[in-house]
Amino acid sequence: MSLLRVENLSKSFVVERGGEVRHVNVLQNLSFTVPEGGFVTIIGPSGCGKSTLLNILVGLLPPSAGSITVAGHTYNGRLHPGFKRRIGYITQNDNLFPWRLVFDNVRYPLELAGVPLPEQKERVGELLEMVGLAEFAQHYPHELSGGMRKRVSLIRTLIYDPPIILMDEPFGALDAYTRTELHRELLSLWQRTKKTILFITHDLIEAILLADRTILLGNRPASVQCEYEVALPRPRHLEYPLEDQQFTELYLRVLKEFKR
Amino acid sequence: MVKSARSREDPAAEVDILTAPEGSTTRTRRRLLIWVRVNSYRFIIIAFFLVLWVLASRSLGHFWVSSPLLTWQSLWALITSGDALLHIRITLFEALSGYVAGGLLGLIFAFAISRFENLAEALDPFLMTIYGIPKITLAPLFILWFGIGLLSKIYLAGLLAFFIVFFNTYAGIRGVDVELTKVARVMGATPWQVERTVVLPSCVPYVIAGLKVALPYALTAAIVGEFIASDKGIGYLIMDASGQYDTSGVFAGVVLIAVIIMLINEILKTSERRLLKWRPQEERGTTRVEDREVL
Repeated sequence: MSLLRVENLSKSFVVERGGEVRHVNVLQNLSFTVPEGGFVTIIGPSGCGKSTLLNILVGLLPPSAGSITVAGHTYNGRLHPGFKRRIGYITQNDNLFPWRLVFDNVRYPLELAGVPLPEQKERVGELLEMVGLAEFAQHYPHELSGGMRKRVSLIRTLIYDPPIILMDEPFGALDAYTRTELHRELLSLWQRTKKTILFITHDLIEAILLADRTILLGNRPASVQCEYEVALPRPRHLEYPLEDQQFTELYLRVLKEFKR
Repeated sequence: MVKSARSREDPAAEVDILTAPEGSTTRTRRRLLIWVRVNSYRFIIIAFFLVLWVLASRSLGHFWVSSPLLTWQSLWALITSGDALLHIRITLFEALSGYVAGGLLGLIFAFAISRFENLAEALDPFLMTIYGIPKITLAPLFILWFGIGLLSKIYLAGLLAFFIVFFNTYAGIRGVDVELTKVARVMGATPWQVERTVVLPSCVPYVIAGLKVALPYALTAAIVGEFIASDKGIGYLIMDASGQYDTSGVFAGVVLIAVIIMLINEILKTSERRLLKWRPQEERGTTRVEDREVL
C-alpha cells in the first residue's frame, strides 16, 4: 500500500517581465508513489523545480493541478501546512531555533500540540538518548557541531511521529565522515521506527546507497524521467559503495540516464 | 571594547582561554592579565585626555576652557548643595518616562502594522519621511504645545524612542528567517503560534538593539528640550551657567551627563548579555539597524 501518492502534479507560475505576461511550467504531470515503510530517493539536476516540488509536498504551496494523497487523505488546491502533521520535514539547514536550548528545540512540536510537560520531558529524554546527545540537552544549537545539529533536527521531527518524513538534501553541507555516520544512523532509525522516507538529493551515490527505489526527475518542466528499484542487499557498504559491483552497475546505469 | 583589545593584542591569550579547561589556573591567570592590561590602557587614555585638557585651559584661558580642577569644584558645589541630584532626577524622569512609553508603543505599532501587508506598504513613504526629519527640530513646537514643564520633554523623548524602536522592530519582523517559519508551520504551528514562538523571539535582538540606541537619544531629547525652555533639569543647569558666563558650570553639567551615559551603557550591556545568551559570542551586538543620525 502506498502511503504517499502524487498524481499528475503540475505547477505553473505567472511571470511578468517587461509588460509581458508568461506562464512558466515548473512541474508537469508528475506522478509517483512511496510505499509504506519504503525509502525512496528523488534525484534531480539543480534548477529542475525541486524546491517547488518540496513546498507542494509539505503543503505550503498549492499545486496548479493534480493531487497528493497522504496516508489515505487526498489533498488538492489549498494550503495544508504539514498535512495535519502527517509529513515531517527535514530541511537542508538544520533550522533549529537558535534561542532555544536543544531540549526546548526537540520538545517544540509537542509544545505546539499542548502535550503536558512531564510527558514532553520523557519523550525528549528517550530520543536524545537514542542519538547519543543526552548530555547536550541544556546547550544552545550554536554550541553543537553540524552533525549534532542534524541529529537534533532529526529527532525534533521524530518526536511527533509523522508517518512520512520528507528530507531535502539533509546531509549536503557535512564532511564525508560525518555524512557516512549520519547515513548509518538514519538507516538504523528508519528500520527501527518503520517510517516512510522520501529523500531528495542531487548526489547520485547517496540516492542509490540509501534507497529501495530511486526516482530520476527530468529537466524543466520537471516530471518523472525514470524509476529504478534498488535491489541491493542491506546492510550496505556505506563507506566504499563503489567497491560493490552490483552497486557500480546500477550507478552507471542511472548516471547514463542522468546525463541525458 | 574588551573583546577587540583582547584579540588584537594577543591572539595567543585568546587561544589559551578557549582551550584551557574552565576554572583552571592558566585560564584565570590569563583572564586577570587581560583585565589588568585593558584597564591600564584605559588609565593611560584618561591621563592623556586630562593632560590635553589642562594644556588647552592653560593656553586658551579659563573663560574659554575651564580647567579640570575648576570643573571639579563646580561639580562638587552642585553635589553638596543637592542641586545635582535634583536636576538629574528631573532629567532622568523625563527621559525614562518618554523612553518607556515611546519604546512600548513602537514595539506594539511595529507588530500591529506588520500584520497588514497593504497597510505597511501604504504607510511606508510617510514613515520614511518622518524617519528623515530630524525630530529634535520639533522641540520648539513641543514646548509651544505642551508648555515649558516636564510634559513637553517627555513627549519629545517618547517621540524619538518610538521611532527608533519601531524601525528596529519592524526590520526584525521582516528579517525573520522564512525557513524557520516554514518548518514551524509544517510541524503544526497555527499562525498565532508562529507569531509567538518564531517571530517574537527572533525579533528580540533587533528590539534590544533599538532600545539600546534609543536610550541615549531619549536623554538627549530631554536635555535639548530643557535647553529651549525649562526651569529644572541638567539642560537648565547648563543653560543657566552659560547665561552667567560660568564656563566651569557648563563643564560640570557636561561631566554629569557623561557619567549618566556611562552608567546607562553599563546597565544596558549587562541586560543585553543576559537576554541574548543564546547567541554565539561573535554575533552579539551586531544587530544594529537604526544607528544612523536621528538628531
